[in-house]
Amino acid sequence: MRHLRASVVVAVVCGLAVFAGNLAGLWWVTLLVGGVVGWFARPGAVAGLLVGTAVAWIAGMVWESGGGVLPAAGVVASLAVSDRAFGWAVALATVGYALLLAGSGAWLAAAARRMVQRQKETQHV
Amino acid sequence: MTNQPVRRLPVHRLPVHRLPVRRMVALLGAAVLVVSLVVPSLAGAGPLPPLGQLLSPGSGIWRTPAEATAAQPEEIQAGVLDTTGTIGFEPDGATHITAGTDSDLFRLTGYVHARQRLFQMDLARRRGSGELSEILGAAALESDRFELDLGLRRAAERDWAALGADDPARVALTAYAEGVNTAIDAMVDDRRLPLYITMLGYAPRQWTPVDSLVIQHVMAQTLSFSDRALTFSYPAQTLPPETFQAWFPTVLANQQYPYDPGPYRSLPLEPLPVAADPAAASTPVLATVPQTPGTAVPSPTPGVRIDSLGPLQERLAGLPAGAVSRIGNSNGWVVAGSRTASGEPLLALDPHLQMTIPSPWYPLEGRSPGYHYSGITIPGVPVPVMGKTDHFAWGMTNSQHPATLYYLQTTDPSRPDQYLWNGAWREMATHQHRIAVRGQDPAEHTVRFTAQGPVVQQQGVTAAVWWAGVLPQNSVGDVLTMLRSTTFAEFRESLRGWVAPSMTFMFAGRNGEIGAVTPGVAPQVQGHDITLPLPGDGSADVRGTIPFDALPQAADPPGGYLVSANHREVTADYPYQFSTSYNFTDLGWRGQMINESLAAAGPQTFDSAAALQMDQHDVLAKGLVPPLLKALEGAQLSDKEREVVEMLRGWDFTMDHHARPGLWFKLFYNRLTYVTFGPWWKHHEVQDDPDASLTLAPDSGSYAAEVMRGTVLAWIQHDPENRFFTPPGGPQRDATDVLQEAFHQSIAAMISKYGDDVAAWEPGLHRGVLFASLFDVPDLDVGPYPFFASDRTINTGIGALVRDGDPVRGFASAGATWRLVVDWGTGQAGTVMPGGVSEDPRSPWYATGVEQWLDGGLLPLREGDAAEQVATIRWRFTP
Repeated sequence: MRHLRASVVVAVVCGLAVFAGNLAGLWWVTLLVGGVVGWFARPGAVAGLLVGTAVAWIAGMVWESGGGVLPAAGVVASLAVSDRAFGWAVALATVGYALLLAGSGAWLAAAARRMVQRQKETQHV
Repeated sequence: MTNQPVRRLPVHRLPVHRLPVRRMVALLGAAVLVVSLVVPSLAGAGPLPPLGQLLSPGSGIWRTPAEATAAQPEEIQAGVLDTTGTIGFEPDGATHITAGTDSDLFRLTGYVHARQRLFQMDLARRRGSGELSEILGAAALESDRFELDLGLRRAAERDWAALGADDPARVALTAYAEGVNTAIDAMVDDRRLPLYITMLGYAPRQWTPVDSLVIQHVMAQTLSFSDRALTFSYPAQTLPPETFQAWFPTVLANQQYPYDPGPYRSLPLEPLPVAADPAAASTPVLATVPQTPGTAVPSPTPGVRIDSLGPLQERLAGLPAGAVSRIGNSNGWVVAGSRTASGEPLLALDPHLQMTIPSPWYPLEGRSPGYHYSGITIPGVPVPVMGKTDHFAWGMTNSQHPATLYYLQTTDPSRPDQYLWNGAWREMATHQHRIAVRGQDPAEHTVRFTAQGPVVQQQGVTAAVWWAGVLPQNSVGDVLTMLRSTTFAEFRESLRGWVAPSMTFMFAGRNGEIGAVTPGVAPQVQGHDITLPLPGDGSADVRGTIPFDALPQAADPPGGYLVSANHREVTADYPYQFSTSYNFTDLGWRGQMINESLAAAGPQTFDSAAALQMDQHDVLAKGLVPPLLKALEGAQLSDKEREVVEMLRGWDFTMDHHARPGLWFKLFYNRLTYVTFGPWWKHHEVQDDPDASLTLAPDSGSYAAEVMRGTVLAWIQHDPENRFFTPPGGPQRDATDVLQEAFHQSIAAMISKYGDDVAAWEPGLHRGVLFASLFDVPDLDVGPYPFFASDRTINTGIGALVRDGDPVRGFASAGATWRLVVDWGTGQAGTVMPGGVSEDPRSPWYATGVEQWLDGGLLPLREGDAAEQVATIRWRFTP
């Protein structure tokens, strides 16, 4: 239960940070937030990070497109693959991209943290 | 010795510095993933723009500009304005600008253009400047090279530099650029750029007055840069001269209605430079002739090097739509009060171009202390090109002046970059350009000039081009003067300095006057045919232009109306070099139809003018079908052929999507041309040209075939025993034989193509009209809708769409891009444009007007208080 509560907190905090970053046009905030979570939080918090990121990006897409996510995605699909019907794929790809940003940031930070911890352990022996 | 166990010394575990392989691999993997995400996110990958900006909700494709949705009232602070102003929109997007100063009028015009059409504007300025490759990649490189050769930007920069500090054109262009940049800055600051620009991942640079002049030249190129001289150099050199003249006469054989029937004034030529482009100024003399015999490539003479211009034709055929003038452009007529029900003049107008979405036009009403007009503007240009003021309504149709001359240079392989001119070897001038190319290294390009103009072909024969579109000019200034006219005399005088493109300007005045004038440079060359390639040795240099007072013009004619539908404006008696049957895209069919309709009709009204704009009677069918039916009397016919004959007897010659004879007629006239001329074409071995303008095929048309249709119609009507009906070495034939044979063949072809059920021959089942999207993306096109017309019907439909280098068959994609009718007696003014004011496919104003356009309805052109009541969506501006 405690873990769940922590994950929810992480999701909300991350979601707010990513949403704010997106509103400012700063796509790399998602990567950064992922890095922060990966560095400081337990592995279980990554689930919260990913949920928060997905919700933040979807909310941003809805907010910025004035509710017209699918029309916007449809036009992009028309330009990219000449078929408006693939708009859902554009939306999905965007959320997937966001998750990749957050997840890879977390992974890199976590991997770096473990390396640093290992070095510290070694030095203390 | 005791057997005491060996006492082992205590062993302490020593630290072992093992490499944390798994953790390193994890770190490395994570780093690789992050880098592989960050690099394309920052810099893009291949054709993809930077993904971070593109996909982020706060900056990319999801951050929808206001123009993507229904417009909302806005309060806008614009420091560039002199005072407050308003842009109002009707529910369908019709735009009304009210400005406190004249400069503000052009600022607000620039602002609204940029808000609704920035990508279209940016594409146009890039195209004309040779900068498309920077955003579109190597696919646009050939277009950029050609435009750099042609020199639209050179001309624009030169014309801008020539404008005086207080020239009204300079003031308008500067103000317009300020307005555009106000919108660009706001979009950039707000990270809400047009979707196409976001997708391509670039930031639009600031707008300059030169950009507007470039776009003006782009339109001139679309309307007047021609390659007909190249096309017809093939048959002109292959066919015996008398045959060429008989088939492609100077004045077309079909009925012509020049709006200026004479008498004509024969005045001395006004001087013109040998080179239209001043960059091709005289170059140093290096040596004098004669050179070593046999080394020089001589100037062309008739009968040699039939295919020498093939590389240039291939180059031109590969350019984007609009780079070369290929379609007839526009109907316009004005009727005097003596022939209108209202007793006051009436104007009807519909300019024909490629029908794109968004439209090439942006319609608006502009009101300031010094100007009031309603009409269409070109996004990127501050002034209206057609419309009405408080004093007159005006329109333009493309004229037949040859404005593109091709010069074949004398060169010598041992003298690279030199050419022979006026008896001396000269060095070509050069301009170096570096073309930025998206996704690859910049490309270098050298523009070479001979005395006549830029070199446009270097393989084999060196060819240079003289094009009036790059002569020094001030068209914006001319239009600004014109807008203040109150009489036809003032209107005409305002166009005295008009250079290019040469257009027929129609005038219907509130004061009761009607008139027309065809200003523009009309180059004259002594001793050579300007409609074919010319020798570049100096013997065929431009000697001057027809003086303005001798150009075609008419005012208040006794007949009470004037018609201009791109047909030849003058008779064969005109004392200057002018057009021929084969150097322009329209052969007078629409002009004939409008003239005959007006002559036969009673007093004209707003409604009758609107109805005539929608007329789809085909004057060729009107001329050909009666003699065909006569030729078939007593002929042996199959049951199906008899059924078709019965169908034709009840046909009123309408080419619409319900009229079954229409589809057959298209096949029939192609067969008729083929049956008549095909054997001769083969006999003289006339070659196809790269863009298929000369193709003579049984079931498809071409430009040459269209000219020959006029010729064969005249023979059938007036010379049925013409010797060319008999094929070379074949049996004797006359018009009746040829009509019968073409008929039999056409029915067989129809059955083969569409089946033997005549009900299935309905054109609407097989043909349509398509409004192509700006980005040539089929999914963003509008249509197709059932539609069938011909390039001879007043409501024209031309299949001009080319995608991936291939023509798109079955769809009309060029035609009336706007319709306007103004009746000064009743005060009625109506208009319709296929396509809305927005370039954003998500906008409700993206495809506005298409349904009304199809139905032929005109929407009221509201002005002043009437507009105020309806244009309730307002952008209010404060300085």
